[in-house]
Amino acid sequence: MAAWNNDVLSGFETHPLEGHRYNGIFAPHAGVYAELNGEETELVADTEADVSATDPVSITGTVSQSMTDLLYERLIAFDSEGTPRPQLATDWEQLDETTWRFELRSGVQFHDEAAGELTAEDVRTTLERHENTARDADVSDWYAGMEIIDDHEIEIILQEPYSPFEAAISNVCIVPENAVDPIDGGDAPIDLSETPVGTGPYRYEEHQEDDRWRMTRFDDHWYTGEEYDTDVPATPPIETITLEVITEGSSRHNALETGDIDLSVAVPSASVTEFEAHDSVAVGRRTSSFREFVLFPLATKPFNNRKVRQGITSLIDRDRIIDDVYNTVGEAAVTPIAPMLEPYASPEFRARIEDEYLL
Amino acid sequence: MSTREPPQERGRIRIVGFDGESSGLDAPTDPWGERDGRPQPRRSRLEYAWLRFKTNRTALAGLVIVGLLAVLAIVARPIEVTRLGYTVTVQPISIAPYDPAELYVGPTQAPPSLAHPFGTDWAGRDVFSRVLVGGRLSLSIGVIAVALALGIGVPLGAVAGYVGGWVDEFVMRIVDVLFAFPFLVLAIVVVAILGQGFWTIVLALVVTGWMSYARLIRGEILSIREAEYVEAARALGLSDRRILVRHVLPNAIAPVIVQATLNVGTVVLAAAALGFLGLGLEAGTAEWGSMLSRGRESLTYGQYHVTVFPGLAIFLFVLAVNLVGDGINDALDPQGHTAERRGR
Amino acid sequence: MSLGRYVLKRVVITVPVAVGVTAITFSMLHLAPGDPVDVIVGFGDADAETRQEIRTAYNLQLPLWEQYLRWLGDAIVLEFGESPITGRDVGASIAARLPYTLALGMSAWLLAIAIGIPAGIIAAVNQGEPADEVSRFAALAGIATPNFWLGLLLLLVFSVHLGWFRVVPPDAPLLSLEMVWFMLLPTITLGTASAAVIMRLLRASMLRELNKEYVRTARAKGLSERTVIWKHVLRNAVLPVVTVAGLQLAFLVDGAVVVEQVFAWPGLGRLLVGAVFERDFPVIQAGVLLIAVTIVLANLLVDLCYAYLDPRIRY
Repeated sequence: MAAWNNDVLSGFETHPLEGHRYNGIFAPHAGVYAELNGEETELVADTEADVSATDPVSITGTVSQSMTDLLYERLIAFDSEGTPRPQLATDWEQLDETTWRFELRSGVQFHDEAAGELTAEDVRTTLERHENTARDADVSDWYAGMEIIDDHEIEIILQEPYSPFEAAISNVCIVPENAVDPIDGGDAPIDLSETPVGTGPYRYEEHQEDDRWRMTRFDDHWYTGEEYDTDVPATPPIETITLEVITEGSSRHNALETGDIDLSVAVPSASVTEFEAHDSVAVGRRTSSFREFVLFPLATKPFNNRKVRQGITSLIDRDRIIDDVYNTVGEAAVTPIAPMLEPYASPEFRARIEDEYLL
Repeated sequence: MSTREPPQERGRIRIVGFDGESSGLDAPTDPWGERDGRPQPRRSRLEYAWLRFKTNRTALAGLVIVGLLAVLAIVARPIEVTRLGYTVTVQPISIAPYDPAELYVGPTQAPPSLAHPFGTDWAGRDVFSRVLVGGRLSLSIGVIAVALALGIGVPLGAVAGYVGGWVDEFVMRIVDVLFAFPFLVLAIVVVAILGQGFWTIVLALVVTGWMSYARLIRGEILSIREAEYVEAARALGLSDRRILVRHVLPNAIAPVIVQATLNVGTVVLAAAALGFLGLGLEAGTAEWGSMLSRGRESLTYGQYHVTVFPGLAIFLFVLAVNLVGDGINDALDPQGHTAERRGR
Repeated sequence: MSLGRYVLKRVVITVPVAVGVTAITFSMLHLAPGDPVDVIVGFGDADAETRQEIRTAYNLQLPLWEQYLRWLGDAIVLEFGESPITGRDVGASIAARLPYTLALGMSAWLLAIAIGIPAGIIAAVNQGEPADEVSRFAALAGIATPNFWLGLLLLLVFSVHLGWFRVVPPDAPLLSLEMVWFMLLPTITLGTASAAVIMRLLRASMLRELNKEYVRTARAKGLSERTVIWKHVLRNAVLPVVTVAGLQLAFLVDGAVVVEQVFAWPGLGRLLVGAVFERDFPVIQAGVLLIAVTIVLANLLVDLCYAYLDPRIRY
């Protein structure tokens, strides 16, 4: 959920998935882009915490994920409806149960000249450097190996048939092959833990710890405006994006109100009603995949008793929680599946679950 | 009786030796000691101190406020003690209209009204009840932390001051070391290691608080130690311990008492700050500092009542405590002698 | 003894104090009940492999004194390793934040002195009159108000409603006019309580001095009241204030931790609070060490100043 000053910013949309909060600024594959009214070229937004890791294999929090989202790209990217779109791969097909072939886009430049152009080697290094890092499971769950056919054609081999493969590969941010190994270190020319280097439409500009994070438009980005059936311009309209680190919820609200920031992606839910009534502030609300839930420790008494769990679940007043804790921003649910996935979010499905599992 | 005494007020010439303190060390003959021209039996210094305190209006006001807040904290809700399966209601009175933890006793975020004099918070809890009961936690943290710190600081400081030598050096070095850690900084570390909770807060407060008492009492004892009456007591054969406890300590304790009183206020503020950072008691606890923390967002939305009342409570309490502390200071030491010694 | 000898004596004494400070900071991790690995992991679940990794990373398999010496040796050359949470160099993080906290602290300290001392003088000179009563009450109010509450109110009134200040720090260098202007509110918030303490102390100190013999003598000599106060009384009265001004440093650090949260000021206080929530122990230890050592040195300086001003203390 985001709020922004619509005298200054237009076209921004909130993204349904966590970790992609700033996507609405420029995402050709999703058909969204934002522009600034008037002469301004810098967008000032907020972030509720400072970035804690910039190497994709070390990123474990949604804040760092969002803040580096515009810097990195993936083979496949999902748009707002959940359809996979080509990003760094122009075409892909499943050859057999455990083999997928990808055609890589040519002419894709990394932000740093030392990384050169995107080739198959970059993709292989990206996948294999996940080993033993915090994001190991992202790849090791399914990856068996990769065959390089040529610079722009690869075949990925799976350990076994894996239906969420497209979703999994869309989670992997492609980085240069000459990046420092996250475990062994060494002195390769590019250190991602210091400076993120990707292929995205924006590049890293500067970072003042606990203060601000700045990105600027990457002029050699591959997108020419023709690749998708959308009207997203070839050049991102916004030149500079500055993210101010504001940890206090009320300060974010105040900063938006006074114009210190143009866009707030972490608006406290209590502010929503006030901003919705505000003339020059637009609020983007979208039911996302983010969920709050209670996990029972099944091995501990008395939670190993199903009736106890059912009883507790029935006592939780979801509607009250949404009204009073989340200030009406949210939807009650009975499964951890986002409403975007319609077959599993339909009222019939929910009624079925409630019948079977709740008291 | 030939010591020249400075006048109590500027420009007024006074005859010395008939009132005021002579050596400042033992109970004086004073205005209240003479009636109808005949000397009355000398009162203890405590009685004189109390008489002086009583005439100090602001100090009395402070005492009344502190007393009122303490009483309110006690009678806010019943206090029950449960031992061996039996529950005894120690204090049955309950002037708080609602259970402070009960949700939805009124509309949420409602401004002050007749039903809810201080309004309600985001979960529909009555702020008035919470402020009343919140006093318990805040006050008990204050009193317990100061009491424990006194229990550590006074003996250590007294021994250091009286024995002197390397014991003194050793204790003072420890004091110096601990003085380097500001309360919040230490509390942050303690919370990181031991987790949040009432006793963690108290521990951090005690560890950073005992040193001022130790230093104070040591200073006092150093000055008093060489005094004549102590030598006399020693000459008479009294044991060191007896001298310390019965003669030296009562004289030295004055600034410590003042400091302790003032520190109750400081401690309450410190605990509130910790609550504000989110490192204090459990979220949702009715404690003034935590209430301020939870409510600070509502300030932005113009709902002043959620933070104003706990904030006022803290303010009032600390103000009153300071008035009392100042009053005690003036009562025990009107000439400012010990404060001068304390100046170092 | 001479000033030189006193200085030497105090400096020599400060060394074991500094060592003690480092020892305590180091041992914090180990003072907790249970295995330090548990403390680091947050008493959650960790498999044997992770625990072993943590053990080697923190050198926990070595005897305690060896761990301490290693840590201390690294610390002296300002090498604090990398944060296990962010992967960034701890020393660099702290160095980036330190100037902000220093700037805020120094400004607040100077403000406290600039307000506290004149107010104390005025109150003492006008004892009993309205000026005295008002400043005394203002001082009490300043002490009794929680500083985070004051900060929030100032922010609300002056930044949000009146729009005179930004809500968050501007994108400008620390010493620029923009930044200094923004720093005004946090400085006032931080310095108010200290100003109140200084004012009360100076007032009490001056009243004591004014009651002394030499003041009567000076007046009898025909010296103007101004000369009496400025040349004689103030000099003596200010001594206890010097000590307190130094002690206020620890107090200001505490205040800074909270004020930095309210005003989004990117200083050491915010770093520490963030590190606690993330259980980032190298950062916590390094930050605490830096603060503690700074306070020890500052107190030493204050002691030396005091000894210079008041020769009696050297005995």
